[in-house]
Amino acid sequence: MKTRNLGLFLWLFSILIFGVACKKHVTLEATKPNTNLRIEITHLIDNIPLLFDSINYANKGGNKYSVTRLNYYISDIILQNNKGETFNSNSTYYVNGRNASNVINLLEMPTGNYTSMRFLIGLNPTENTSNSLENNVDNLNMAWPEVIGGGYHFLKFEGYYLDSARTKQGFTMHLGTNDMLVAHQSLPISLLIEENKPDTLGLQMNLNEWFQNPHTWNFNVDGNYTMAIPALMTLLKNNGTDVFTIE
Amino acid sequence: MYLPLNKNITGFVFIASLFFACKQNDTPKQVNTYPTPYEISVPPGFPKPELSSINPLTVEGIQLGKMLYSDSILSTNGRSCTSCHLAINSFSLPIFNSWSGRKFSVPAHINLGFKKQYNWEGSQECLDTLAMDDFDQEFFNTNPEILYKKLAAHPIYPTLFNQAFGISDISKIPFQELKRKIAYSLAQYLRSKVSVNSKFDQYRNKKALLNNLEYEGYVIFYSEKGDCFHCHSEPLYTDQQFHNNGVSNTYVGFDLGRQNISNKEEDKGKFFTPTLRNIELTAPYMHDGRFKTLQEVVDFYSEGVAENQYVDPLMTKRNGTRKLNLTTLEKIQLIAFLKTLTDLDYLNK
Repeated sequence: MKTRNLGLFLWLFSILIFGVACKKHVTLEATKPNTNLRIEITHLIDNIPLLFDSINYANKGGNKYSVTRLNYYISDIILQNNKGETFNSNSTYYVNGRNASNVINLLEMPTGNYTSMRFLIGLNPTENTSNSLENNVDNLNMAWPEVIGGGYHFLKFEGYYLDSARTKQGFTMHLGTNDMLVAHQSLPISLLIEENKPDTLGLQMNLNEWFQNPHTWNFNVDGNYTMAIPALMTLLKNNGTDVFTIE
Repeated sequence: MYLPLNKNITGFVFIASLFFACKQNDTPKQVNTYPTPYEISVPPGFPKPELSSINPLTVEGIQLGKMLYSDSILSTNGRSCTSCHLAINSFSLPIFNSWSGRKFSVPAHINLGFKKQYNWEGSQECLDTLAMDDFDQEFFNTNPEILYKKLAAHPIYPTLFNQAFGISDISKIPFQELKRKIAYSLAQYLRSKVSVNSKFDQYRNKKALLNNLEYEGYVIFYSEKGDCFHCHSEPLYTDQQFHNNGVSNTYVGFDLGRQNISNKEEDKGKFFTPTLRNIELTAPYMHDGRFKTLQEVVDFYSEGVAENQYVDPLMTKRNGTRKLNLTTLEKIQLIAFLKTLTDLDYLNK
Protein backbone atom coordinates (compact mmCIF):
# COMPACT_ATOMS: atom_id res chain seq x y z
CA MET A 1 0.00 0.00 0.00
CA LYS A 2 2.81 2.30 0.96
CA THR A 3 4.61 1.52 -2.28
CA ARG A 4 1.46 2.09 -4.24
CA ASN A 5 0.84 5.44 -2.58
CA LEU A 6 4.39 6.54 -3.11
CA GLY A 7 4.17 5.49 -6.77
CA LEU A 8 0.96 7.43 -7.17
CA PHE A 9 2.50 10.43 -5.50
CA LEU A 10 5.57 10.37 -7.73
CA TRP A 11 3.44 9.87 -10.82
CA LEU A 12 1.27 12.82 -10.00
CA PHE A 13 4.30 14.86 -8.99
CA SER A 14 6.03 14.19 -12.29
CA ILE A 15 2.91 15.22 -14.17
CA LEU A 16 2.77 18.35 -12.05
CA ILE A 17 6.40 19.14 -12.82
CA PHE A 18 5.71 18.55 -16.50
CA GLY A 19 2.70 20.75 -16.41
CA VAL A 20 4.11 23.60 -14.38
CA ALA A 21 7.63 23.72 -15.72
CA CYS A 22 6.60 23.89 -19.34
CA LYS A 23 3.65 26.14 -18.93
CA LYS A 24 3.78 28.93 -21.39
CA HIS A 25 2.41 32.27 -20.40
CA VAL A 26 -0.89 32.07 -22.08
CA THR A 27 -2.86 34.15 -19.65
CA LEU A 28 -5.51 35.98 -21.51
CA GLU A 29 -5.55 39.70 -21.33
CA ALA A 30 -8.68 41.58 -21.97
CA THR A 31 -8.27 43.26 -25.33
CA LYS A 32 -8.45 46.98 -24.86
CA PRO A 33 -10.89 48.66 -27.16
CA ASN A 34 -9.22 50.77 -29.81
CA THR A 35 -9.89 54.38 -28.93
CA ASN A 36 -6.86 55.86 -30.65
CA LEU A 37 -6.71 59.22 -32.37
CA ARG A 38 -4.36 59.83 -35.29
CA ILE A 39 -3.41 63.47 -35.83
CA GLU A 40 -1.95 64.18 -39.26
CA ILE A 41 0.03 67.40 -39.50
CA THR A 42 0.44 69.19 -42.80
CA HIS A 43 2.06 72.50 -43.69
CA LEU A 44 0.59 75.11 -45.99
CA ILE A 45 1.20 78.67 -46.97
CA ASP A 46 -2.19 80.30 -47.41
CA ASN A 47 -3.82 77.08 -48.59
CA ILE A 48 -0.92 76.12 -50.86
CA PRO A 49 0.97 72.99 -49.76
CA LEU A 50 4.47 73.82 -48.61
CA LEU A 51 7.17 73.11 -51.18
CA PHE A 52 10.64 73.41 -49.74
CA ASP A 53 13.48 75.29 -51.47
CA SER A 54 11.32 77.30 -53.82
CA ILE A 55 10.77 81.05 -53.66
CA ASN A 56 7.09 80.99 -54.33
CA TYR A 57 5.52 82.50 -51.30
CA ALA A 58 4.68 85.98 -50.09
CA ASN A 59 3.96 87.11 -46.57
CA LYS A 60 1.72 89.91 -45.46
CA GLY A 61 4.74 92.15 -44.93
CA GLY A 62 5.47 91.99 -48.66
CA ASN A 63 8.45 89.62 -48.60
CA LYS A 64 8.83 86.89 -51.17
CA TYR A 65 10.30 83.90 -49.41
CA SER A 66 11.14 80.21 -49.52
CA VAL A 67 11.45 77.63 -46.78
CA THR A 68 14.52 75.47 -46.21
CA ARG A 69 13.85 74.14 -42.73
CA LEU A 70 10.83 73.65 -40.48
CA ASN A 71 11.41 71.80 -37.22
CA TYR A 72 9.38 72.22 -34.05
CA TYR A 73 7.92 70.49 -31.04
CA ILE A 74 4.28 70.07 -30.07
CA SER A 75 3.52 69.10 -26.50
CA ASP A 76 0.72 68.74 -23.97
CA ILE A 77 -2.09 68.19 -26.43
CA ILE A 78 -5.32 68.66 -24.47
CA LEU A 79 -8.69 67.62 -25.82
CA GLN A 80 -11.87 68.66 -24.06
CA ASN A 81 -15.17 66.86 -24.36
CA ASN A 82 -18.69 68.23 -24.25
CA LYS A 83 -18.85 67.54 -20.51
CA GLY A 84 -15.88 69.78 -19.88
CA GLU A 85 -13.57 66.86 -19.12
CA THR A 86 -10.06 66.97 -20.55
CA PHE A 87 -7.58 64.44 -21.87
CA ASN A 88 -3.90 65.49 -21.78
CA SER A 89 -1.41 63.57 -23.88
CA ASN A 90 1.41 64.64 -21.53
CA SER A 91 3.89 63.97 -24.31
CA THR A 92 6.19 65.85 -26.63
CA TYR A 93 6.29 65.32 -30.38
CA TYR A 94 9.02 66.39 -32.80
CA VAL A 95 7.88 67.57 -36.20
CA ASN A 96 10.11 67.86 -39.25
CA GLY A 97 8.36 69.58 -42.13
CA ARG A 98 10.52 67.71 -44.62
CA ASN A 99 9.16 64.35 -43.51
CA ALA A 100 6.76 62.77 -45.95
CA SER A 101 4.24 62.67 -43.14
CA ASN A 102 4.08 63.86 -39.58
CA VAL A 103 1.69 61.85 -37.46
CA ILE A 104 0.90 61.99 -33.77
CA ASN A 105 -0.92 58.97 -32.36
CA LEU A 106 -2.86 59.51 -29.16
CA LEU A 107 -3.50 56.08 -27.73
CA GLU A 108 -6.29 54.83 -25.50
CA MET A 109 -8.25 58.03 -25.31
CA PRO A 110 -11.32 58.04 -23.14
CA THR A 111 -14.42 57.70 -25.23
CA GLY A 112 -16.50 60.80 -25.63
CA ASN A 113 -17.57 63.67 -27.77
CA TYR A 114 -14.63 66.04 -28.01
CA THR A 115 -15.27 69.64 -28.91
CA SER A 116 -11.93 71.44 -28.62
CA MET A 117 -8.20 70.91 -28.72
CA ARG A 118 -5.28 73.00 -27.53
CA PHE A 119 -1.53 72.40 -27.22
CA LEU A 120 1.85 74.00 -26.85
CA ILE A 121 4.34 74.75 -29.59
CA GLY A 122 7.54 74.00 -27.76
CA LEU A 123 8.22 72.08 -24.59
CA ASN A 124 6.49 72.27 -21.25
CA PRO A 125 8.83 74.12 -18.84
CA THR A 126 9.19 71.01 -16.69
CA GLU A 127 10.63 69.22 -19.69
CA ASN A 128 12.52 72.10 -21.25
CA THR A 129 15.86 71.39 -19.65
CA SER A 130 19.03 70.33 -21.39
CA ASN A 131 19.25 66.62 -22.21
CA SER A 132 15.74 65.88 -20.96
CA LEU A 133 14.73 64.33 -24.29
CA GLU A 134 16.15 61.21 -25.87
CA ASN A 135 19.59 61.87 -27.32
CA ASN A 136 18.75 61.23 -30.94
CA VAL A 137 20.12 63.43 -33.72
CA ASP A 138 16.84 65.37 -34.09
CA ASN A 139 16.72 66.35 -30.44
CA LEU A 140 20.45 67.03 -30.22
CA ASN A 141 20.14 69.41 -33.15
CA MET A 142 17.29 71.21 -31.40
CA ALA A 143 19.32 71.82 -28.23
CA TRP A 144 19.24 75.41 -26.98
CA PRO A 145 22.65 76.16 -25.44
CA GLU A 146 22.87 76.37 -21.67
CA VAL A 147 24.79 79.64 -21.81
CA ILE A 148 21.68 81.28 -23.24
CA GLY A 149 19.09 79.44 -21.17
CA GLY A 150 19.31 75.72 -21.97
CA GLY A 151 16.57 73.36 -23.02
CA TYR A 152 15.56 73.07 -26.65
CA HIS A 153 14.62 75.16 -29.65
CA PHE A 154 10.84 75.20 -29.82
CA LEU A 155 10.90 76.21 -33.46
CA LYS A 156 13.38 76.40 -36.30
CA PHE A 157 11.80 78.04 -39.32
CA GLU A 158 14.42 78.99 -41.90
CA GLY A 159 14.61 80.01 -45.50
CA TYR A 160 15.45 82.76 -47.95
CA TYR A 161 13.72 86.00 -48.82
CA LEU A 162 14.25 88.69 -51.39
CA ASP A 163 15.37 91.89 -49.71
CA SER A 164 14.51 95.40 -50.86
CA ALA A 165 17.27 95.19 -53.47
CA ARG A 166 15.78 91.88 -54.70
CA THR A 167 18.82 90.05 -53.36
CA LYS A 168 18.33 86.62 -51.82
CA GLN A 169 19.02 86.68 -48.08
CA GLY A 170 18.62 84.08 -45.38
CA PHE A 171 16.19 84.23 -42.47
CA THR A 172 16.21 82.13 -39.31
CA MET A 173 13.11 82.36 -37.14
CA HIS A 174 14.04 80.49 -33.98
CA LEU A 175 12.13 80.27 -30.72
CA GLY A 176 13.35 78.96 -27.39
CA THR A 177 13.40 79.48 -23.60
CA ASN A 178 10.35 79.07 -21.39
CA ASP A 179 9.15 82.64 -21.79
CA MET A 180 8.71 82.02 -25.49
CA LEU A 181 6.53 78.93 -25.22
CA VAL A 182 3.58 79.26 -27.59
CA ALA A 183 0.25 78.32 -26.06
CA HIS A 184 -1.78 77.73 -29.17
CA GLN A 185 -5.35 78.93 -29.03
CA SER A 186 -8.08 76.37 -28.54
CA LEU A 187 -9.31 74.88 -31.80
CA PRO A 188 -12.92 73.77 -32.18
CA ILE A 189 -13.23 70.13 -33.19
CA SER A 190 -16.04 67.70 -33.67
CA LEU A 191 -14.69 64.33 -32.72
CA LEU A 192 -16.57 61.32 -31.44
CA ILE A 193 -14.22 58.76 -29.92
CA GLU A 194 -15.95 55.41 -29.58
CA GLU A 195 -14.68 51.95 -28.80
CA ASN A 196 -13.03 50.28 -31.79
CA LYS A 197 -13.62 53.29 -33.99
CA PRO A 198 -10.21 54.96 -34.27
CA ASP A 199 -10.41 58.41 -35.76
CA THR A 200 -8.17 60.83 -37.62
CA LEU A 201 -7.80 64.57 -37.28
CA GLY A 202 -6.05 66.85 -39.76
CA LEU A 203 -3.98 69.66 -38.27
CA GLN A 204 -2.73 72.28 -40.70
CA MET A 205 -0.07 74.88 -40.07
CA ASN A 206 -0.23 78.00 -42.21
CA LEU A 207 3.35 79.23 -42.16
CA ASN A 208 2.29 82.73 -43.12
CA GLU A 209 0.61 83.05 -39.74
CA TRP A 210 4.06 83.24 -38.16
CA PHE A 211 4.41 86.52 -40.04
CA GLN A 212 1.04 88.07 -39.19
CA ASN A 213 -1.63 88.46 -36.51
CA PRO A 214 -0.97 90.46 -34.58
CA HIS A 215 2.41 91.62 -35.90
CA THR A 216 2.94 91.95 -39.62
CA TRP A 217 6.52 90.84 -40.11
CA ASN A 218 8.73 92.42 -42.70
CA PHE A 219 12.24 91.02 -42.88
CA ASN A 220 13.53 94.32 -44.20
CA VAL A 221 12.17 96.16 -41.17
CA ASP A 222 11.98 93.63 -38.33
CA GLY A 223 15.06 91.62 -39.14
CA ASN A 224 15.79 88.13 -40.30
CA TYR A 225 17.27 86.57 -37.15
CA THR A 226 15.44 86.04 -33.87
CA MET A 227 17.64 83.65 -31.89
CA ALA A 228 18.04 84.92 -28.33
CA ILE A 229 16.58 88.33 -29.16
CA PRO A 230 13.65 88.53 -26.71
CA ALA A 231 11.85 91.40 -28.46
CA LEU A 232 11.77 89.60 -31.80
CA MET A 233 11.06 86.19 -30.32
CA THR A 234 8.10 87.72 -28.48
CA LEU A 235 6.67 89.01 -31.76
CA LEU A 236 7.08 85.57 -33.26
CA LYS A 237 5.60 83.86 -30.21
CA ASN A 238 2.53 86.09 -30.29
CA ASN A 239 2.05 85.42 -33.99
CA GLY A 240 2.34 81.70 -33.37
CA THR A 241 -0.79 81.27 -31.27
CA ASP A 242 -3.04 80.79 -34.30
CA VAL A 243 -0.83 79.13 -36.89
CA PHE A 244 -2.83 75.90 -36.82
CA THR A 245 -6.33 75.12 -37.98
CA ILE A 246 -8.30 71.92 -38.12
CA GLU A 247 -8.60 70.49 -41.61
CA MET B 1 -7.72 3.03 -7.74
CA TYR B 2 -4.77 0.91 -8.64
CA LEU B 3 -2.11 2.08 -10.95
CA PRO B 4 0.07 -0.71 -12.31
CA LEU B 5 3.31 1.01 -11.42
CA ASN B 6 6.04 -0.23 -9.24
CA LYS B 7 8.61 1.95 -7.49
CA ASN B 8 11.29 1.56 -10.12
CA ILE B 9 9.04 2.41 -13.02
CA THR B 10 7.64 5.43 -11.22
CA GLY B 11 11.07 6.75 -10.50
CA PHE B 12 12.05 6.29 -14.14
CA VAL B 13 8.95 8.11 -15.33
CA PHE B 14 9.63 10.92 -12.91
CA ILE B 15 13.19 11.39 -14.05
CA ALA B 16 12.26 10.94 -17.70
CA SER B 17 9.53 13.55 -17.31
CA LEU B 18 11.95 16.03 -15.89
CA PHE B 19 14.52 15.29 -18.55
CA PHE B 20 12.39 15.29 -21.66
CA ALA B 21 9.44 17.43 -20.86
CA CYS B 22 11.13 20.81 -20.93
CA LYS B 23 14.01 20.05 -23.18
CA GLN B 24 14.04 22.57 -26.00
CA ASN B 25 17.46 22.10 -27.54
CA ASP B 26 17.96 18.39 -27.75
CA THR B 27 21.14 18.53 -29.81
CA PRO B 28 24.34 17.66 -28.03
CA LYS B 29 26.23 20.59 -26.61
CA GLN B 30 28.66 21.87 -29.20
CA VAL B 31 31.72 24.01 -28.97
CA ASN B 32 30.67 27.59 -29.59
CA THR B 33 32.22 28.72 -32.84
CA TYR B 34 30.31 31.96 -33.04
CA PRO B 35 32.15 35.24 -32.59
CA THR B 36 31.70 37.11 -29.34
CA PRO B 37 29.14 39.93 -29.54
CA TYR B 38 30.51 43.36 -28.74
CA GLU B 39 28.51 46.26 -27.40
CA ILE B 40 29.62 49.85 -27.73
CA SER B 41 29.63 51.69 -24.45
CA VAL B 42 27.63 54.76 -25.41
CA PRO B 43 28.86 57.80 -23.49
CA PRO B 44 26.25 59.92 -21.68
CA GLY B 45 24.68 62.45 -24.00
CA PHE B 46 25.61 60.58 -27.17
CA PRO B 47 23.00 59.29 -29.59
CA LYS B 48 22.62 55.60 -30.21
CA PRO B 49 25.32 54.29 -32.54
CA GLU B 50 24.40 53.51 -36.11
CA LEU B 51 24.71 49.75 -36.00
CA SER B 52 24.35 47.33 -38.87
CA SER B 53 22.26 44.19 -38.94
CA ILE B 54 24.36 42.79 -41.78
CA ASN B 55 27.59 43.36 -39.90
CA PRO B 56 27.05 43.02 -36.16
CA LEU B 57 29.91 44.03 -33.91
CA THR B 58 32.02 41.20 -32.53
CA VAL B 59 35.21 41.13 -30.53
CA GLU B 60 36.92 39.07 -33.20
CA GLY B 61 35.68 41.26 -36.07
CA ILE B 62 36.97 44.36 -34.34
CA GLN B 63 40.31 42.71 -33.67
CA LEU B 64 40.62 41.72 -37.31
CA GLY B 65 39.72 45.23 -38.44
CA LYS B 66 42.17 46.79 -36.04
CA MET B 67 45.02 44.67 -37.42
CA LEU B 68 44.08 45.27 -41.04
CA TYR B 69 43.67 49.04 -40.54
CA SER B 70 47.40 49.55 -40.15
CA ASP B 71 48.64 46.62 -42.23
CA SER B 72 49.99 47.13 -45.74
CA ILE B 73 49.11 43.52 -46.53
CA LEU B 74 46.05 44.81 -48.38
CA SER B 75 48.12 46.75 -50.90
CA THR B 76 50.88 46.29 -53.41
CA ASN B 77 52.24 49.79 -52.88
CA GLY B 78 53.03 49.68 -49.19
CA ARG B 79 49.88 51.58 -48.25
CA SER B 80 47.53 50.80 -45.43
CA CYS B 81 44.47 52.69 -44.14
CA THR B 82 46.79 54.61 -41.84
CA SER B 83 48.65 56.01 -44.84
CA CYS B 84 45.73 58.38 -45.41
CA HIS B 85 44.37 58.34 -41.85
CA LEU B 86 47.30 59.37 -39.73
CA ALA B 87 46.87 59.03 -35.99
CA ILE B 88 48.72 62.28 -35.40
CA ASN B 89 46.05 64.02 -37.50
CA SER B 90 43.16 62.32 -35.71
CA PHE B 91 43.15 59.68 -38.43
CA SER B 92 42.84 62.19 -41.25
CA LEU B 93 45.26 63.38 -43.91
CA PRO B 94 45.96 67.06 -44.54
CA ILE B 95 45.50 66.86 -48.31
CA PHE B 96 44.90 64.04 -50.75
CA ASN B 97 45.54 64.75 -54.43
CA SER B 98 43.35 62.37 -56.35
CA TRP B 99 44.08 61.11 -59.85
CA SER B 100 41.02 62.96 -61.05
CA GLY B 101 42.67 66.19 -60.00
CA ARG B 102 40.48 66.68 -56.97
CA LYS B 103 42.37 67.98 -53.99
CA PHE B 104 40.67 67.39 -50.67
CA SER B 105 41.18 67.21 -46.96
CA VAL B 106 40.64 63.61 -45.84
CA PRO B 107 37.89 63.52 -43.17
CA ALA B 108 38.98 62.27 -39.77
CA HIS B 109 38.05 58.78 -38.67
CA ILE B 110 36.50 59.77 -35.39
CA ASN B 111 33.19 58.70 -33.88
CA LEU B 112 32.20 57.21 -37.23
CA GLY B 113 29.88 54.77 -35.51
CA PHE B 114 27.45 57.60 -34.85
CA LYS B 115 27.40 59.02 -38.36
CA LYS B 116 24.79 58.42 -41.00
CA GLN B 117 26.71 59.64 -44.04
CA TYR B 118 30.34 59.75 -45.03
CA ASN B 119 32.73 61.90 -47.04
CA TRP B 120 32.37 65.61 -47.68
CA GLU B 121 29.56 65.23 -50.19
CA GLY B 122 27.83 62.37 -48.39
CA SER B 123 28.77 60.08 -51.25
CA GLN B 124 28.61 57.02 -48.98
CA GLU B 125 25.79 56.09 -46.65
CA CYS B 126 27.09 52.77 -45.39
CA LEU B 127 30.14 52.44 -43.19
CA ASP B 128 30.21 48.69 -43.77
CA THR B 129 31.12 49.05 -47.42
CA LEU B 130 33.04 52.32 -47.17
CA ALA B 131 36.39 50.62 -47.70
CA MET B 132 35.28 48.59 -50.73
CA ASP B 133 36.69 51.13 -53.17
CA ASP B 134 40.03 51.35 -51.41
CA PHE B 135 41.28 48.21 -53.16
CA ASP B 136 41.37 50.14 -56.45
CA GLN B 137 44.58 51.19 -58.18
CA GLU B 138 44.48 54.69 -56.79
CA PHE B 139 44.68 53.54 -53.18
CA PHE B 140 45.84 49.98 -52.36
CA ASN B 141 46.27 48.77 -55.93
CA THR B 142 45.45 45.35 -54.55
CA ASN B 143 46.51 42.28 -56.44
CA PRO B 144 43.98 39.58 -55.52
CA GLU B 145 46.38 36.70 -56.07
CA ILE B 146 49.05 38.21 -53.87
CA LEU B 147 46.51 39.16 -51.20
CA TYR B 148 45.13 35.62 -51.01
CA LYS B 149 48.64 34.21 -50.65
CA LYS B 150 49.75 36.70 -48.04
CA LEU B 151 46.64 36.28 -45.95
CA ALA B 152 46.80 32.49 -46.11
CA ALA B 153 50.44 32.48 -45.08
CA HIS B 154 49.92 34.91 -42.24
CA PRO B 155 50.20 33.44 -38.72
CA ILE B 156 47.08 35.19 -37.38
CA TYR B 157 44.71 36.31 -40.16
CA PRO B 158 43.35 32.88 -41.18
CA THR B 159 42.31 32.22 -37.59
CA LEU B 160 40.82 35.69 -37.20
CA PHE B 161 38.82 35.43 -40.43
CA ASN B 162 37.48 32.11 -39.20
CA GLN B 163 36.64 33.41 -35.75
CA ALA B 164 35.11 36.63 -37.00
CA PHE B 165 33.22 35.45 -40.07
CA GLY B 166 33.35 31.66 -40.03
CA ILE B 167 35.64 31.55 -43.08
CA SER B 168 37.67 28.40 -42.60
CA ASP B 169 39.62 28.83 -45.83
CA ILE B 170 40.14 32.33 -47.16
CA SER B 171 41.27 31.05 -50.52
CA LYS B 172 37.86 29.53 -51.19
CA ILE B 173 35.84 32.74 -51.11
CA PRO B 174 35.55 35.02 -54.17
CA PHE B 175 37.60 38.21 -54.17
CA GLN B 176 34.50 40.40 -53.95
CA GLU B 177 33.45 38.53 -50.83
CA LEU B 178 36.93 38.78 -49.34
CA LYS B 179 36.91 42.55 -49.92
CA ARG B 180 33.50 42.75 -48.31
CA LYS B 181 34.62 40.89 -45.22
CA ILE B 182 37.72 43.07 -44.94
CA ALA B 183 35.54 46.17 -45.27
CA TYR B 184 33.16 44.77 -42.65
CA SER B 185 35.96 44.21 -40.18
CA LEU B 186 37.34 47.70 -40.76
CA ALA B 187 33.83 49.13 -40.21
CA GLN B 188 33.53 47.19 -36.97
CA TYR B 189 36.84 48.53 -35.76
CA LEU B 190 35.92 52.12 -36.67
CA ARG B 191 32.53 51.79 -34.97
CA SER B 192 34.21 50.65 -31.79
CA LYS B 193 36.41 53.75 -31.58
CA VAL B 194 34.75 56.51 -29.56
CA SER B 195 36.28 59.87 -28.73
CA VAL B 196 34.92 61.14 -25.44
CA ASN B 197 37.84 62.32 -23.39
CA SER B 198 38.63 65.83 -24.51
CA LYS B 199 39.21 68.55 -21.96
CA PHE B 200 35.73 69.84 -22.68
CA ASP B 201 34.28 66.36 -22.09
CA GLN B 202 36.05 66.40 -18.76
CA TYR B 203 34.64 69.86 -18.07
CA ARG B 204 31.15 68.57 -18.85
CA ASN B 205 31.78 65.68 -16.48
CA LYS B 206 33.01 68.05 -13.79
CA LYS B 207 36.49 66.55 -13.90
CA ALA B 208 38.31 69.58 -15.32
CA LEU B 209 38.03 73.33 -15.34
CA LEU B 210 38.34 75.63 -18.31
CA ASN B 211 40.66 78.60 -18.05
CA ASN B 212 39.31 82.09 -18.69
CA LEU B 213 40.16 82.13 -22.38
CA GLU B 214 38.59 78.72 -22.94
CA TYR B 215 35.46 79.59 -20.97
CA GLU B 216 34.89 82.84 -22.83
CA GLY B 217 35.42 80.93 -26.08
CA TYR B 218 32.84 78.40 -24.92
CA VAL B 219 30.33 81.19 -24.39
CA ILE B 220 31.08 82.60 -27.86
CA PHE B 221 30.71 79.17 -29.45
CA TYR B 222 27.34 78.50 -27.81
CA SER B 223 25.82 81.96 -28.09
CA GLU B 224 24.69 84.08 -31.01
CA LYS B 225 28.04 85.88 -30.90
CA GLY B 226 29.80 82.96 -32.57
CA ASP B 227 26.71 80.96 -33.49
CA CYS B 228 28.77 77.82 -34.09
CA PHE B 229 26.45 75.41 -32.26
CA HIS B 230 23.68 75.34 -34.86
CA CYS B 231 25.79 73.24 -37.20
CA HIS B 232 28.37 71.83 -34.80
CA SER B 233 25.92 70.47 -32.27
CA GLU B 234 27.12 68.65 -29.17
CA PRO B 235 28.22 65.97 -28.44
CA LEU B 236 29.37 64.93 -31.91
CA TYR B 237 30.00 68.54 -32.95
CA THR B 238 28.25 67.90 -36.23
CA ASP B 239 24.54 68.13 -36.97
CA GLN B 240 25.02 65.40 -39.59
CA GLN B 241 23.56 67.67 -42.23
CA PHE B 242 24.78 69.47 -45.32
CA HIS B 243 25.34 73.21 -45.39
CA ASN B 244 26.74 75.80 -47.72
CA ASN B 245 28.85 77.79 -45.28
CA GLY B 246 29.79 80.43 -47.81
CA VAL B 247 33.34 79.31 -48.31
CA SER B 248 33.07 79.51 -52.11
CA ASN B 249 31.82 82.20 -54.44
CA THR B 250 31.90 80.13 -57.58
CA TYR B 251 30.71 76.59 -57.97
CA VAL B 252 32.50 74.17 -60.26
CA GLY B 253 33.87 70.69 -59.69
CA PHE B 254 34.34 69.72 -56.06
CA ASP B 255 33.02 73.10 -54.88
CA LEU B 256 29.55 72.03 -56.07
CA GLY B 257 29.54 69.79 -53.03
CA ARG B 258 26.40 67.81 -52.32
CA GLN B 259 24.97 68.83 -55.69
CA ASN B 260 27.50 66.46 -57.27
CA ILE B 261 25.60 63.61 -55.61
CA SER B 262 22.00 64.82 -55.49
CA ASN B 263 21.89 66.89 -58.72
CA LYS B 264 19.66 69.33 -56.86
CA GLU B 265 20.16 73.05 -57.31
CA GLU B 266 19.47 73.69 -53.64
CA ASP B 267 22.42 71.50 -52.69
CA LYS B 268 24.94 73.67 -54.48
CA GLY B 269 28.03 74.25 -52.38
CA LYS B 270 26.79 72.15 -49.46
CA PHE B 271 29.12 69.86 -47.56
CA PHE B 272 28.63 67.49 -44.65
CA THR B 273 29.31 69.35 -41.42
CA PRO B 274 32.65 68.04 -40.16
CA THR B 275 33.06 67.20 -36.50
CA LEU B 276 35.08 69.63 -34.43
CA ARG B 277 36.42 66.90 -32.18
CA ASN B 278 40.20 66.99 -32.54
CA ILE B 279 39.86 69.93 -34.91
CA GLU B 280 43.20 71.20 -33.62
CA LEU B 281 44.84 68.15 -35.21
CA THR B 282 43.14 68.14 -38.59
CA ALA B 283 44.54 71.17 -40.39
CA PRO B 284 44.18 72.33 -43.09
CA TYR B 285 40.47 73.08 -43.02
CA MET B 286 37.37 73.05 -45.24
CA HIS B 287 36.72 70.45 -47.93
CA ASP B 288 39.68 71.52 -50.02
CA GLY B 289 41.98 72.44 -47.17
CA ARG B 290 42.04 76.08 -48.18
CA PHE B 291 42.60 77.37 -44.64
CA LYS B 292 45.87 76.38 -43.06
CA THR B 293 45.10 77.36 -39.47
CA LEU B 294 42.21 77.72 -37.05
CA GLN B 295 42.95 81.44 -37.06
CA GLU B 296 42.20 81.55 -40.79
CA VAL B 297 38.97 79.60 -40.19
CA VAL B 298 37.78 81.95 -37.48
CA ASP B 299 38.74 84.98 -39.59
CA PHE B 300 36.66 83.53 -42.41
CA TYR B 301 33.55 83.05 -40.27
CA SER B 302 34.02 86.47 -38.74
CA GLU B 303 34.52 88.51 -41.89
CA GLY B 304 34.88 86.35 -44.98
CA VAL B 305 31.65 84.48 -45.68
CA ALA B 306 30.62 84.75 -49.31
CA GLU B 307 27.64 86.87 -50.30
CA ASN B 308 25.99 84.63 -52.81
CA GLN B 309 22.45 83.27 -52.97
CA TYR B 310 23.36 79.69 -52.09
CA VAL B 311 24.82 80.38 -48.67
CA ASP B 312 22.84 78.68 -45.85
CA PRO B 313 20.35 80.91 -44.01
CA LEU B 314 22.15 79.95 -40.80
CA MET B 315 25.09 82.02 -41.98
CA THR B 316 22.96 85.15 -41.65
CA LYS B 317 23.77 86.49 -38.22
CA ARG B 318 22.12 88.68 -35.64
CA ASN B 319 23.22 91.89 -37.29
CA GLY B 320 21.51 90.84 -40.51
CA THR B 321 24.81 90.29 -42.27
CA ARG B 322 26.97 87.22 -42.71
CA LYS B 323 29.67 88.65 -40.49
CA LEU B 324 30.32 87.79 -36.86
CA ASN B 325 32.66 90.76 -36.46
CA LEU B 326 34.58 89.12 -33.65
CA THR B 327 37.29 91.13 -31.96
CA THR B 328 40.88 89.89 -31.88
CA LEU B 329 40.41 88.78 -28.28
CA GLU B 330 37.17 86.97 -29.07
CA LYS B 331 38.90 85.10 -31.86
CA ILE B 332 41.67 84.03 -29.49
CA GLN B 333 39.06 82.90 -26.98
CA LEU B 334 37.11 80.94 -29.57
CA ILE B 335 40.24 79.16 -30.76
CA ALA B 336 41.18 78.37 -27.16
CA PHE B 337 37.79 76.72 -26.73
CA LEU B 338 38.13 74.75 -29.98
CA LYS B 339 41.37 73.31 -28.66
CA THR B 340 39.55 71.95 -25.60
CA LEU B 341 37.88 69.52 -28.00
CA THR B 342 41.20 67.75 -28.52
CA ASP B 343 41.18 64.16 -27.30
CA LEU B 344 44.70 62.78 -27.33
CA ASP B 345 43.57 59.52 -25.72
CA TYR B 346 41.67 58.77 -28.90
CA LEU B 347 44.87 58.72 -30.92
CA ASN B 348 46.06 55.67 -29.00
CA LYS B 349 42.85 53.68 -29.32
